Amino acid sequence: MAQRTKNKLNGKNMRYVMFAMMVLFIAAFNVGCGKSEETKTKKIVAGVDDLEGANIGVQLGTTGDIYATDYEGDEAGTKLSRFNKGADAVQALKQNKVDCVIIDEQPAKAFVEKNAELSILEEEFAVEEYAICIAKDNTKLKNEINQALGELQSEGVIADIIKNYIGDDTKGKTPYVSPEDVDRSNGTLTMATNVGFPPYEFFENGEPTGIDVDMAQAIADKLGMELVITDMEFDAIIMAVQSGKADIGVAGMTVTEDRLKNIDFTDSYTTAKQVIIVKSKDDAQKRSFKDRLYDSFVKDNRWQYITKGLGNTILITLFAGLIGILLGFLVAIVRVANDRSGEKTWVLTLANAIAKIYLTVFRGTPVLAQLMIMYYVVFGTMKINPVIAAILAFGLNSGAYVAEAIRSGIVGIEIGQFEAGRSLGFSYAKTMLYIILPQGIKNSLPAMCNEFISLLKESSIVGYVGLVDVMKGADIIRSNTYEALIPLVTVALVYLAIVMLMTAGVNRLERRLKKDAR
Amino acid sequence: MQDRELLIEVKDLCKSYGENTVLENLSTNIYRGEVIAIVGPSGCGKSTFLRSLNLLERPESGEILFNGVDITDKKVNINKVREKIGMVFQQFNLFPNMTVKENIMLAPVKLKVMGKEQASKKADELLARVGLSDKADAYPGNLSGGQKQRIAIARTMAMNPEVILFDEPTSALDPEMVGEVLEIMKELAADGMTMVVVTHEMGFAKEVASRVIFIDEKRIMEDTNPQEFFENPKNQRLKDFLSKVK
Repeated sequence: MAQRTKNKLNGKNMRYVMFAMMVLFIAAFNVGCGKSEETKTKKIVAGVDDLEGANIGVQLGTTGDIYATDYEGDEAGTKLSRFNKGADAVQALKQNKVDCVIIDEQPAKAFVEKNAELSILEEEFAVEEYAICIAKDNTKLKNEINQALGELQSEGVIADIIKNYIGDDTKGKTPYVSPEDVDRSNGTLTMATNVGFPPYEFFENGEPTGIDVDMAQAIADKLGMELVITDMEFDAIIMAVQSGKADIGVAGMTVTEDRLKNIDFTDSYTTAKQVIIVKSKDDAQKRSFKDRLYDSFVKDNRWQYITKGLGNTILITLFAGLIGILLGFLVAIVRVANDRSGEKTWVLTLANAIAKIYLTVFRGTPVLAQLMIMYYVVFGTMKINPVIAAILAFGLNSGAYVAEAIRSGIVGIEIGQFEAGRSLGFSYAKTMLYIILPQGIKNSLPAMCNEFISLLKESSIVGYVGLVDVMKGADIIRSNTYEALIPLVTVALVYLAIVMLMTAGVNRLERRLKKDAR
Repeated sequence: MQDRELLIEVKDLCKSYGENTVLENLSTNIYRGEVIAIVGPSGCGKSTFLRSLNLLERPESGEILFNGVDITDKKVNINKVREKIGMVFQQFNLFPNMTVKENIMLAPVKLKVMGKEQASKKADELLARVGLSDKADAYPGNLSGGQKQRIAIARTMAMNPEVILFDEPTSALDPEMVGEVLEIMKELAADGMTMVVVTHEMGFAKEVASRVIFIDEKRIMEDTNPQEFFENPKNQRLKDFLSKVK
């Protein structure tokens, strides 16, 4: 009887959830189509002089960011909004969240081309030179690249590559093609970049492409090396090159004094300008939802970003969860043994001290910080697959929470259960194994389920170490289409669906384990 | 009397919790086949004494010889010793996540005292003996207190112990269920099982016990046969105690 009531309740819950999902979707849809009349901006930027007092959008760590920082917090109240991607800054501009965006000229052109309501101010903000960044002690490679660059310049290859992406008349006419029969026996050349900065680097058919990509390919061809491209946040590129995760950073990067403190640069390969983008008119004609849906998923097979990302999300959650369970068990057993067993050995005392430190550190710091430290510090000088770094970071983090879940599950068990086991002749370990743990695990199931749901959702930050998961997949679509609503709501629904599946699974398991209840 | 076989020998047992002394130089002998009732006011240390016999409480000093071996010696494998000393608790302490039969079979099978089939057969026999054959597949949560305690007795019997310690086995039961548990204990006693029972049931002490021990003030105050114990108590504190429980 009790069973049936519960099932009924679950059905009801399910309907509530479906209803909530619909409300979420409709709400998000309305926001996305929201009237642009609710303008939040006050400042109209018509030239460099108007930057004072404006809300300026920039991409974090770019030269635009560095220059604009001089204005930040001045008397006129200038505000700076730093975004991880140029495309995010442009999106904020479209939604009137910032007054203007300072960004490199070529990406600015690409953005304005796709967004009729935006325009570039004629007055330039700054002129600068792009170069390839390289680790300070890597003089040999630097010299080789400089020589290759020199040759490519004089052969006109660089000019052809730039023309192929810039200029209405020349676009697409001089694509770079690697010479045939290149001997690639000199190893790999790993290039760190931030895809989402057209025309220097952007995704086309799921592959990174653009001026920087072609040029790096041309350099690799000259050096007889295999080019490997790693996509990451712009402000992580220098760290990656410094730590040896990547050999070079090619990302429309300008030479600045601050950067020179940490990193070296090759000769410049092109000059560029920092320009100001503003919103010049209201949104262009509204596009139908169907078209936006088509753009987001069907065009260029963009749905694949989500499905490919889903693979990584599941892979990381699954293996991190496994590590979490194993580690959590171990730590919980050490903690309980230390609290309960009469005879304490120094081994146990030491293990307990380590366990306590582990719990404090991993539950007391943000998982994003742990992930970044794992990738850029712990494995800083090693080349490691970021999937493995992410699995380790999330596994360690999850273990701390699982340990506490199991421990509280065990602590809740009456001491009499333990005494019954010992009095029958079971050793401490066997009492734990046969009597205490099975009950403790059952007690801790709800808390563990919550932990794995958190783990799944928290894995959405792996984009920070250059991995494409569901979240990052949506980000890529967003940076290609300037469409926020559809990809973001879609990932939210993907996560929600997985969480609901997990919850249903755990509920079934719990019901099976609860058969002994009255 | 000389042919009685000595099973447990307690010598100068001392136990304290921090500053608080619970047992002071307590000594006694327990012979095979004896049914010993231990009575005394609450907090007198009778449960601590009982729990010392299988080292659930480790005494500060003194010796406990089981079959001539001092089990307080750290070199002795206490787990092996405990297989031979059964224990029944006030709160039953059945394993709630296992069926009645699994409760009974767990220790013999996992401790490799017998094979699975043999243990199953033994469990069936014991269930019949405590009159609960129909509850083999039930979970403890679905049993009454009296039934739980009968299962707990069957569980400890499954290990073929040489002695069973009972720690106030009927104190947590509703009055109407006390009888069914005492009945099983009587049958055990009649079969010759050595039993040490901490109890408040004076009736049981009078009828079933072969010896009654009165513990108070951290020591054994009276240790004699039931008839002498109840009809001719010598110790003044025992006289007071008996007048209160009557």
